[in-house]
Amino acid sequence: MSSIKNLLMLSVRQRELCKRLKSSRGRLFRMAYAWSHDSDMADEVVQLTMIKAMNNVDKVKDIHALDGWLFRVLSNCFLDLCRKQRDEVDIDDIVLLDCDTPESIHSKNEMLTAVKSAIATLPFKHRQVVTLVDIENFTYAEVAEIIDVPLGTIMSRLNRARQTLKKVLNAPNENHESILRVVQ
Amino acid sequence: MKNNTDYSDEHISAYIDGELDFEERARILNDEQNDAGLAQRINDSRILKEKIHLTYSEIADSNDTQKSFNCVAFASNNRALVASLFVVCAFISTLIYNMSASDNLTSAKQLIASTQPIAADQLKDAIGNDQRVVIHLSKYEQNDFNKTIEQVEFLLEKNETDSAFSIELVASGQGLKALDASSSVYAERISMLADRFNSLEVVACAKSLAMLAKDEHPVQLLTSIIITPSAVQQVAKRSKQGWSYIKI
Repeated sequence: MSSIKNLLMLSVRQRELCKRLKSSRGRLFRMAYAWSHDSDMADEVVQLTMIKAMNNVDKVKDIHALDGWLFRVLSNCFLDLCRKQRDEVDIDDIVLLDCDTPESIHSKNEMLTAVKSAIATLPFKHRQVVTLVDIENFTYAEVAEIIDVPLGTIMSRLNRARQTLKKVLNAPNENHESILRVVQ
Repeated sequence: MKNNTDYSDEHISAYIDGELDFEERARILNDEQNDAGLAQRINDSRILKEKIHLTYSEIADSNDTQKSFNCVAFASNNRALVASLFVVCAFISTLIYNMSASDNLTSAKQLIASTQPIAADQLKDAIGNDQRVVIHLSKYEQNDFNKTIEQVEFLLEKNETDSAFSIELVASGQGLKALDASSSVYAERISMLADRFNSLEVVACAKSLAMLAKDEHPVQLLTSIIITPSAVQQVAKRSKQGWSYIKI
């Protein structure tokens, strides 16, 4: 009887987890896009993340920790995909994250385009931290857990990222060449 | 009180990200009000944070919208494709069913062709303990047929209370003459047995009836006899259902 009860409870919990997983898809895509500036790649990473998450959802002990766990899975999937792509082509040579022309910089989305271009100049490790903090409002401790580095490193990377962004954005209309850096 | 240069960039970042405790936040807030340079730095950091948030805030929504739109577009623009797929599926299903039916017919033909007819007096032994038996009347010899009827009647009486026991008498070709009310002395008896025992069905082959009629030997059947389109089909059907087959 108790085993049946456990099964029912597990089923309810799993349903809740799966529901939360599905509702997180948009946020995962936004983050993957912020890291790659490539909607196809972001979509692929999110797909991989969802599959991995669905298969391992039982491992989530605390439902409130789902967010952090999910973005950790996303981060791992993203890095795996980058490594795979690096095996095939030198990503540093060919991938331009931003195809913006000087004309488009002066369009009505000038500010947003400029920020995207500036983000694209950041090394991935810095970009990852700043986007997790500023887009998803994760705490430093949560980011440290997601990407599995010490808290001090998070603070350091975040600070360096923001300083770089300020410099780039305050530079008088320079050509924001956007190159995705190779993931270390 | 600390001035602008006393606060590191990490400290200001931690402040705008809500990472400081209450006391530290209160202190910076106080200093910010009294130091324009510090206020400017904090404000710049807040603006940058807000810009980053704003830049990507619509990404997920537009992605979801596009996916929904694509789904709707697919559904509305591909009705013909869906209909075609349905027709193809139906065709494949029919083909598989027909292939399966064809296989059954081939097996039944082989069964009928390879089974040696038994003598009428061997019928009881041939049935043995089988509970569902198809007895195929492929020929009619008046002198022996009496024994066949007697044995069938004996078995029906013996198993009258056994609801699982069933005999199906399938007549085809020359065997149909046994059911011909105009010429067979056993036709009425067979018909009466079919009426008396629920476990007995008498079935006549329509193809054979048509051929006999064409050869100007029409068969007159009594009402209790069932007509099946093809004796082979009937044997195939029963064979598939696990019935035993005996040819007389």
